[in-house]
Amino acid sequence: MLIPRAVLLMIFGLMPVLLVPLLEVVPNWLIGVYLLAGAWRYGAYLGRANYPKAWVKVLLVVVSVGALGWDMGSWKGLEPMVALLLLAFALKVTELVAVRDTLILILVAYFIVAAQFLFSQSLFATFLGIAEVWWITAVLVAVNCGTQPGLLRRALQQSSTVLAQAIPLMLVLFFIFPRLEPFWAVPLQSSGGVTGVSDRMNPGDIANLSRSAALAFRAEFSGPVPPNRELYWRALVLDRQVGETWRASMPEPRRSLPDLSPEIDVTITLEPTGQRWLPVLETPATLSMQALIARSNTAFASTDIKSDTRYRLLATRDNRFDAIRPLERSRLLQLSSGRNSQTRALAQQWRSELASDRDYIDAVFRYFREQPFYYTLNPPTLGPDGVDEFLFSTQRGFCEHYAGAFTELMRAAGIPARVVTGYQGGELNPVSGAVVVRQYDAHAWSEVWLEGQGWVRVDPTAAVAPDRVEYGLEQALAEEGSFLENTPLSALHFKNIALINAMRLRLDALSYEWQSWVLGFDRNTQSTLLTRLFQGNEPWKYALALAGAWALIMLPFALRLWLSERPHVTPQDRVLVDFLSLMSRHGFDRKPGESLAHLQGRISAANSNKANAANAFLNTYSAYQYQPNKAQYISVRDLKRLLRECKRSFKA
Amino acid sequence: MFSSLRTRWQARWQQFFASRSPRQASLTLTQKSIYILPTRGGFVFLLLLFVLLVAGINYQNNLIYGLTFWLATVFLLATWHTYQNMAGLQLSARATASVFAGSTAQFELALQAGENKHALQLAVRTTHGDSQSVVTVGETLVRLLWSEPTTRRGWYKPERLTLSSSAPFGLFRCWAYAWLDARALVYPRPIDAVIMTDGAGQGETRPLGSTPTQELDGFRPYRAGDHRKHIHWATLAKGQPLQTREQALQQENESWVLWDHYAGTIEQRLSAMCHRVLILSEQDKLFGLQLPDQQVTPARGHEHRAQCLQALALYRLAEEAS
Repeated sequence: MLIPRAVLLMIFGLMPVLLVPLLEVVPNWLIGVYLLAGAWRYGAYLGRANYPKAWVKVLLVVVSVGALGWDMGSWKGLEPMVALLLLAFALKVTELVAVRDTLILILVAYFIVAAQFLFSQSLFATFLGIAEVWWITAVLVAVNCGTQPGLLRRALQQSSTVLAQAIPLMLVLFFIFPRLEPFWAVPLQSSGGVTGVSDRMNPGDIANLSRSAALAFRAEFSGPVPPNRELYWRALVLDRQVGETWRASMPEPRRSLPDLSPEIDVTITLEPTGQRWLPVLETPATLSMQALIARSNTAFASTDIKSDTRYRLLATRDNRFDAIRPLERSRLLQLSSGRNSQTRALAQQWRSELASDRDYIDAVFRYFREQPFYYTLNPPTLGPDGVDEFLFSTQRGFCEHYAGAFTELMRAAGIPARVVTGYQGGELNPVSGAVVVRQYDAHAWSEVWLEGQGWVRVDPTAAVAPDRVEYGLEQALAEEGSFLENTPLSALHFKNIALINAMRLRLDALSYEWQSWVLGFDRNTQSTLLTRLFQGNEPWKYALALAGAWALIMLPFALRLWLSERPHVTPQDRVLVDFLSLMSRHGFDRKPGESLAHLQGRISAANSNKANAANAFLNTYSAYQYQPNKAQYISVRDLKRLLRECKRSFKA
Repeated sequence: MFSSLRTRWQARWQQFFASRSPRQASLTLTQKSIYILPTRGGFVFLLLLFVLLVAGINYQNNLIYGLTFWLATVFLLATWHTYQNMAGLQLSARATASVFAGSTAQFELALQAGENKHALQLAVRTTHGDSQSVVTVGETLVRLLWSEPTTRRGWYKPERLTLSSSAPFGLFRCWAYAWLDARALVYPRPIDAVIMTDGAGQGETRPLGSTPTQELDGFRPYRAGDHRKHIHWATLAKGQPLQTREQALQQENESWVLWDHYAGTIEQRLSAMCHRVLILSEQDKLFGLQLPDQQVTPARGHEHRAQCLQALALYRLAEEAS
């Protein structure tokens, strides 16, 4: 059977919905493949193009799979597989002729929905997935119901019916099904999404990041939320200077610290970054996921963060365990040679004039405050001696300029120092209670090693733009007006309109709730929930719950089955049954297959004096049954009255 | 050995199915008569569910878990929807005409779904392998014709019909067997044979006392079967009831098809007589038929021909004649 037009249109509708959410992880030229495949199949439908011949198909597969391999570099990981699935879907569309070809297409489509869930589990992704499943199931119905008028409407209706009916058992299975350990490790390959801060910092990097309002992570504190100026989310420590670039060295695992008493307890839901760093606060004590905690007070996951990740962090402000080794000290004083001579000379001069490191730091801060430094997202481009240029001539820069220059000034004066990148502050959502940290909260600051105090955080940006640290980027850039200037319609511009802001916060809280619930439902949560629900965790209770749910779902169906099987008995028929039992008591048994008229004849013949009442009853009943125009005037009450008369006359 | 085992196994099943649905004039499909199994697509779907489950476990992804269980429940519910698609379908059948042995008997199947119900994508298959499909059966009656080859005279009852549908999901296939109580009359196979007995040639004529009462001269009211040549059309023109000219009837000789004139087995004789009946009625002769236990008085016309052929078809098949 050929594919009906409605089904073809439904499949065309499905194509962009499957492709677009995955464009971040697959090559963009798949858009072209999809357009071409759709156009080709539509041309074939119109009769203007032929279905691809066998050799054309082989050529298409070889060329597109080859292009995919060349583009993605490697076949390892998940992204190439997803790209292959998407490619398979498009190529299958071109050779879709008969109805039976569609099954494989439909199964691939279900698979692509699952692949979308791998990369995003947000509220939006969930709704999109539900809509896709609804649509794909409708296609499945449409191809199995033949051509008929109103096929599309009927298929969508049938699809929503069955999907709605399936929800209760799906939920029971979802909660009861044991969460098993993965059978084998499944790394995701390089990722889409915003990468966030990276392991090297060039002037301008963070300024670019700050143009994005994309979500970086959300953090939920148990206990009071610290003020913004204390929220320095550490991602990476950059302690090597190569040219103008600050780079991170390999993280060194930290010895375990047994005596820490963590006072910060925060649960972080991190968006995929494609990198391994995990944002932490202060000195991380423990993380709830498998992670490496480095000596530099940063943390790293064992694999790249490819999907939404949730972990709980216990941290302390106690920094008495900080230490540097003699060898490390020289590395922390290293500067790339032959650059920024003016800066280094100034640093050495100041340090020699001042009594302590502390005084020197204050002097540098004073310099930043008193000179006309300007905090801007659009700093001028700097030459090879960038720090000299920045400190003495342009004096315009973003946080990475200040942090980089400050660290250089420290090292030049013989104070061990390093750059820390990460995020600063965040927006507390009063609805969900979570701190929302976006890419524009990306920040860089410095840490200096002071004998007897350990590592001390110093944020030179605070000297130039105190608002940045107190109230966030938007306030700091209020004068310049460059906050999210590339996305004029972002809801974040309308924070001062109460209604829009309230809606934005509520939506954010809702999607946070969803994400934390979906991501957080793991084996522990499951066993806690089920133990509380069932007062124990014996397997038979689960089995019983499953059977109960199944029975509950099947009950309406069983009821419908039973009702449809039961013979339909009208009240009039029930009166007839009473009449017949009365007759059989008086010797007139209705024989199998005997008509009422025949029975009536027998009664009249044998029992002429009592037959009148029986005749009256049977005549009325026959009129009810066989004469539609009279039937509407005959009520059950009439029949019952006639039956009573029969009883009376037969008694006599 | 395996093939014999297989045939025995199949016979076992046929017996089981037959015992569950006896021959009925009309049949309403219920859970007693509907069987269900996954289609090949259904098994592939199960494979998809398995792979999705493995993906959910390996990536520890709750949304994939959810998707898997959702589709699994849809799969289970598909049994009900597929069953419901066919349940309540009413079937009945009748033969469209009588046929001669060796040709095909044609039956008409009437299909109707209940109130507000539709059976979709129904395939009707006979044991001989021809299959027809109906897109929608609704409240209005749908008629299908199918035919089956016959071999011997008598009443022929149709073989088993298989109705199946995998709508609306294609994951399960429901099917039902129907042995419908329709019957087609099968006449003997007409064979041109030489009359073996002595005496008169073909179509021996002889006046018989038992022939219809004869009124000389005149007319009698028209009876069905009277030849149009003998009708007195003038009375019709006058607006009176039709009259037949008795004289014309008188003048014609009666032909007889007699059992004793033919030799061979019963079937051979019946076949030869059948051939003869066909020739005589073709020639529009007045003829009668005599069998050892019955005779058909001479007449002509369609009804008479049918009566004679039925007598031949059912000769000594008393148990089937009823």
